[in-house]
Amino acid sequence: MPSPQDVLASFARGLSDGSFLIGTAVSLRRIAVGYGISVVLGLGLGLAIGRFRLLEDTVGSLVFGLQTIPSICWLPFAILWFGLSERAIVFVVVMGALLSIVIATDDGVKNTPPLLVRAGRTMGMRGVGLYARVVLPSALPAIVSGMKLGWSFAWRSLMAGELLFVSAGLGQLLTVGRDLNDMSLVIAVMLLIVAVGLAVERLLFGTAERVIRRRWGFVGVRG
Amino acid sequence: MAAFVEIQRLTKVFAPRNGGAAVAALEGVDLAVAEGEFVCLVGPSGCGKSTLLNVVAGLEPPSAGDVRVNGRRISGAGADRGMVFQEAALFPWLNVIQNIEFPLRRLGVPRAERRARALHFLHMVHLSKFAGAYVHELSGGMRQRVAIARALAMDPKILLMDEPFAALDAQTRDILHEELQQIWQETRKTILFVTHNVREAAYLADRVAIFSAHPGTIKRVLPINYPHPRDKESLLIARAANVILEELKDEVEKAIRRQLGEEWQRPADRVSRSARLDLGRGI
Repeated sequence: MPSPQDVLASFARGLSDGSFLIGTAVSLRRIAVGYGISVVLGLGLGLAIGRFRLLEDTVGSLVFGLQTIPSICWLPFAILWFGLSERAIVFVVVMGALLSIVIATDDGVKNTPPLLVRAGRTMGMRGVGLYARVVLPSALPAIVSGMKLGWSFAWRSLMAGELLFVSAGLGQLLTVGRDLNDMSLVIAVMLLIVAVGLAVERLLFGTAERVIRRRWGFVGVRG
Repeated sequence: MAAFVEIQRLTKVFAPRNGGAAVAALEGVDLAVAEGEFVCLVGPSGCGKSTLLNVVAGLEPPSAGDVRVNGRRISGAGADRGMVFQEAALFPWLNVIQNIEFPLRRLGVPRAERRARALHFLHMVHLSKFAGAYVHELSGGMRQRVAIARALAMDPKILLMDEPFAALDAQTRDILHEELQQIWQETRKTILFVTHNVREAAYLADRVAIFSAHPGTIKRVLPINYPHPRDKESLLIARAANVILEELKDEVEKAIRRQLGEEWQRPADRVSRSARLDLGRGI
């Protein structure tokens, strides 16, 4: 095992020679694309499944079935479909995040208090307007936690995918460490993965969660 | 001239669930309400009084019969009929003032006027200080105040209130009765108010429609000819409440017997018995 000083030195070296920055930038770009697609598709699909009975009976049960597949198991499928390309890794990321966002959104929609919907109707709202201004905001806490869960799934999927085959990115740096038999580099990269994952999560969800807690009055056990 | 709210031979049958029998919640109900009138609907639970309110609100379609408001047959829910539920039904993602403004946007009220109108009605229910508060920060009584302000801000022709004060403590309820009476006198809205509290009905209403259950029909409409503002302690109110209570007693007993079967008896009708058999000793 390397000493903490060795790890720190590897970390500093990685930062100064630019390999950590490039790796982080590449991984972040991939996850931005993959997670972005997941959010758009997931919200759309989740809202639609929550709204239409037919979709729920068909696509809904399929989603729950697919959720049991670890996203990295989509890698062979993705490689056969897209070849060894960026698109394959993005696909794996999407499969990691998409389903949990779909399920959480669907849940949020279904758990909308019927009383709020009735109140909206007595204000003359119906159809899409009612859905957009009452059901969607009411589902927001569930949607945000689904997106947060999706984010951590996406990040894990990306690391697994990069580790296995794609060039550049943080996962690839881990492989380099292994190939060079450089344990301190491996640990330094793992620390970097934790740091980047946490930083982005705080950045994306910190404010949203604070706002939701403040408005809904979720204070947790300490309240 | 036709009345402002005209309910004719209204029947509402709920479709059978899981192979059970169809339930007639309302059967051939007639009721005419004048503009600006305050009418309370009282009755035992299950008599269809809330169903009637839901049909007038447009939340439930009638099975048969006719409901007209201001001469127009209602079709679906609309902002011309404001509703206040037993639970305030406020939106937790909006603060107090945004909750009141919420329906106004859809009604095409310009932004500046939305705010002014919301503040006006917030002032009417004495909650100006809480404009920026969120729903979870309010007490039950305050939530109902906001719900009333929100309904009034839409400027509906009718206010439909479904046991709005039933979940509140007695003191808060008393205060809100007085305030509602005052608000009604200021705004001159037509109000349909469902309750099972006879004192509430006697105090607030111009007329009280007393329901009987299974099937739900209006048994009697009792006018309370006593000018507003009223005094809750007044003997006339107490007397009116007693009349309603007498009318209701049979209905309530019928409802309980339906639920519990023939085993149930009114305590007053039972022969007093004591295991010790020494009742009356020392008389």
